[in-house]
Amino acid sequence: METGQKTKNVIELRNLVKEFRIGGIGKTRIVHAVNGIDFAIKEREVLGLVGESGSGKTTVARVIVRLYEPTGGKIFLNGQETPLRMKHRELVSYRKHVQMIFQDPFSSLNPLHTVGYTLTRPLKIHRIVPKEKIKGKVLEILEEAGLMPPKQIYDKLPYELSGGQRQRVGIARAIAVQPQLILADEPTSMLDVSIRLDIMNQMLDLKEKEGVSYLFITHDLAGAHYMSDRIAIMYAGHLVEIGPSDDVINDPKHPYTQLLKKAAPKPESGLEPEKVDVGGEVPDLTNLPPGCPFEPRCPFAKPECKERVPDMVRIAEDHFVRCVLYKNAG
Amino acid sequence: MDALLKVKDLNAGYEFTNFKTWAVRNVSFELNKGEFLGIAGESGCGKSTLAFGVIRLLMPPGKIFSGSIEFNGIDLMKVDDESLRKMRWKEFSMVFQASMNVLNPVLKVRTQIYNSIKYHVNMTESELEKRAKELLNLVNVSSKYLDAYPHQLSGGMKQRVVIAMALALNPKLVIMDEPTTALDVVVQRRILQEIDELRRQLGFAIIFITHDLSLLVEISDSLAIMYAGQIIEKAPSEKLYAKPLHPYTYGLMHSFPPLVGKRQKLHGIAGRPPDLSSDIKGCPFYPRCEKRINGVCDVENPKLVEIESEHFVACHLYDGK
Amino acid sequence: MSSLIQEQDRVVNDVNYVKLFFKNRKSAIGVIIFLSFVVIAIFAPWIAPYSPNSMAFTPLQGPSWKHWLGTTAVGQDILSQVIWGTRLSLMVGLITGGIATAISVIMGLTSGYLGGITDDILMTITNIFLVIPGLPLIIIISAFIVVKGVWTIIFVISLTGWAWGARTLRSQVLTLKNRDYVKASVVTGESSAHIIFSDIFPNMLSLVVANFFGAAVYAVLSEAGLEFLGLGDSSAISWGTILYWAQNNQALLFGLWEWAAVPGLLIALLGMSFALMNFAVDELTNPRLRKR
Repeated sequence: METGQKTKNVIELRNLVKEFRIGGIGKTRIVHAVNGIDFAIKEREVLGLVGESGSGKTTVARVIVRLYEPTGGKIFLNGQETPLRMKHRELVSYRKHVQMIFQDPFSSLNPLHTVGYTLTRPLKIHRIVPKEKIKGKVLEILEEAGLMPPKQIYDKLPYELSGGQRQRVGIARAIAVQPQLILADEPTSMLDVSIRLDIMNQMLDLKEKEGVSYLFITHDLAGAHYMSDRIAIMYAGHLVEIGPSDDVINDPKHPYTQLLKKAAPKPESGLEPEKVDVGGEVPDLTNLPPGCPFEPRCPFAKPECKERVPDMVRIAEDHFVRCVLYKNAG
Repeated sequence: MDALLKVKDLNAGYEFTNFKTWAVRNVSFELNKGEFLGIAGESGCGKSTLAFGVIRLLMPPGKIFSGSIEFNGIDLMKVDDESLRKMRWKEFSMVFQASMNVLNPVLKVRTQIYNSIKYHVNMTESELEKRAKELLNLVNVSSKYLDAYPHQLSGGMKQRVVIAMALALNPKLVIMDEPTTALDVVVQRRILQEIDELRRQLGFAIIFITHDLSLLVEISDSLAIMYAGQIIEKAPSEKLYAKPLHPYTYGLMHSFPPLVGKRQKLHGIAGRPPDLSSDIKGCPFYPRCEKRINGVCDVENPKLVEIESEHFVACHLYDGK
Repeated sequence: MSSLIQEQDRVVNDVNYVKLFFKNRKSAIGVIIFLSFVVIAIFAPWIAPYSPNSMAFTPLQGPSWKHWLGTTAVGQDILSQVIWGTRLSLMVGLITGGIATAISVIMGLTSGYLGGITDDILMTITNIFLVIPGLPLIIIISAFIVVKGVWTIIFVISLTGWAWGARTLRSQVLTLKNRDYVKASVVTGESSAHIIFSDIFPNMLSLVVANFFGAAVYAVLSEAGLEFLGLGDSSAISWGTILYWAQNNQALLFGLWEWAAVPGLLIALLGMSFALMNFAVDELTNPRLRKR
């Protein structure tokens, strides 16, 4: 979003759109999963992407990593525009720069492949090191990802590892190709609470050591706050707020962000539970209203909110909100 | 003391062809009428086994090895199957994990609510309808959904329907096993509020099982923390939160990054829980405990003892050893 | 219950294949029967009392000490024929089963993984083969092919026996395609071919093996059927051809029931042994079927 900045943008999305067609002949409907997303991530930066189910956050990640083809918009990698449709060779080259960590440690590793095999593959495909040095490199990566002792883990099959260890293998696999950007799709939500922090810390350590950036996708606001330098909030395929992590959490501007904050568990802030009065459900993505998608549930809704989706307004140097409440603040 | 449920020295687990797993080890606790007890623990700690075991719902290979379960004065271990069946749903009921996926997709909501009643009590068609409407009303679901199919309801609504079904016969105890895990945070918060309101309204006791301690602290009366099949600490929620005694509880509470405030580096608990298919010598938390006492903690398993009023801990730091 | 999940994982990965087939009583019996047939087939020249083609004996004899199963209408020893026939019946069963399974695998994997138009085309072809009734198709094709012989039979049965397997395997591929580890391989940069062979195929191996057993049963029975109808190679010796000649020569009318019954029984037994062995494979895929 910002040109002329000292630090380069590793990735930049402009007006990214993703639609899915569902239904059979005659009854096709379009799911508007991602509706015009703009953001950029710099080197060594963690951008937290927060939203509930149906917000489109996972779809955004899958489009960036090219598991899905974007329907529209532009994606820039290191300042270069990438074609929406890529051929196999272009894809392989792209994948050296953009990698992914999956949510479910119990299904993201092939149950029949040893850890060693799983980590050898990316090294081979992207020719990271010459053949003789592959095993050594794998052991090195295992150690970096906190899997000890590496020689033992090398021969293990996934079922012999705990959830936390499997997730570390997933991290190792992503880091193996020395990417610039890693998309972490809810990497800790299926892990036990007591090991989540360690996994997140591991990811942050790798950020410093390897210089990798993260798009950290989560529904957990507190986790996003811990991990991210900046946070972006998504609702019904739209980006509704984006700004520095502390600002967005401590002083949320968009009514939806405020709702998320109220609803989040806060054991540390005393034992009087906050009452959440907002009702309603997430909108139907095949039938989005023309105006702001949050309007039906918004306690501050105005008539103009129904007319069109509000523009992003800048309310501080790096803090943007998509809401009519602030339209005069920019 | 009007204790609704008294569990004493319960041992339960799973019996396979080659080995046994002791998922619940010598668990004892009491639950009063209308009390909200939260049981927190991580995967493999035995909390689900405990939940199923307490109301005698463990199916093979699950099995209760020993211990007593007294519900309203009746020993559930000594009751025959027929009486158990009669007690189920009337005296105690259960909301299972990911229940919303347990709703039968080819039956209407109405039919499923009726079934949950009919299996246990005889009612006429009109009585059933009246009760079904009452129940949906209780959980804030419009009665027009009586004739809908599960896929037409959102996740939150499905969960509410399941809760309504659990309350159909006004049980005295409802066990909820991770009822909100699959829901979004806003819906989760609302459902928890509703569950709490219902409890105050109808007076039933709740055993709420979860791995997410942060949820429980705000709404439960008392909290029990499970680790490796044992209850290692139990206390009223504010006490537990203000002063967690067991190192595991302390570690667990500090594993949650705080929502507000400055970002600072925290850490979780290193290591992993022990394998429940083998005997554990000494305290099960010993390998991961920062405050362990060599020669004591690795030798003897501490017993759950009342250290202060209603605050129980199983830890050698407090039992004078 | 995480311990149950771990137990399942352990079962699937820790399996000793030899033990697997023997632990289940049903499949153990199947293996024993099958291996017996294999032994008989291999050692036929040593086990059979006489040459199967030798017409040196008194025809149409009932069972006797010299001829345990009697003799045919042209004076051949039936027992020797049955023993030697094991070779062909077994061979056709296994080879045909193998070829049909191979076709199913190729069709199912390609169609399931590639999707799109390829899937549509391949599935249409599969559906056509599925819909056309097997036996009449076999008869028609056999009637048209001039060269009669074992390989014709194998060809014809394979042609009609792969469609069902292709569909089942394709469904399995569709499920596996959505597994996270397949997506992870895509993101790593693996080629489709590698994903199909390294990620998808090994994880459906048990289904493929089960498919093979099913195809083998189908092959054994179809071969017998074809031979029995005279559409096979009547100069060859297999259980099916024995049945053909028995029927042709009105064995039952002559009271030589064993001439027809024994080959028929053996055909059924071989088919059954495959079905029994399949039970062990079922348990591999679904550990919950294991006996407690």
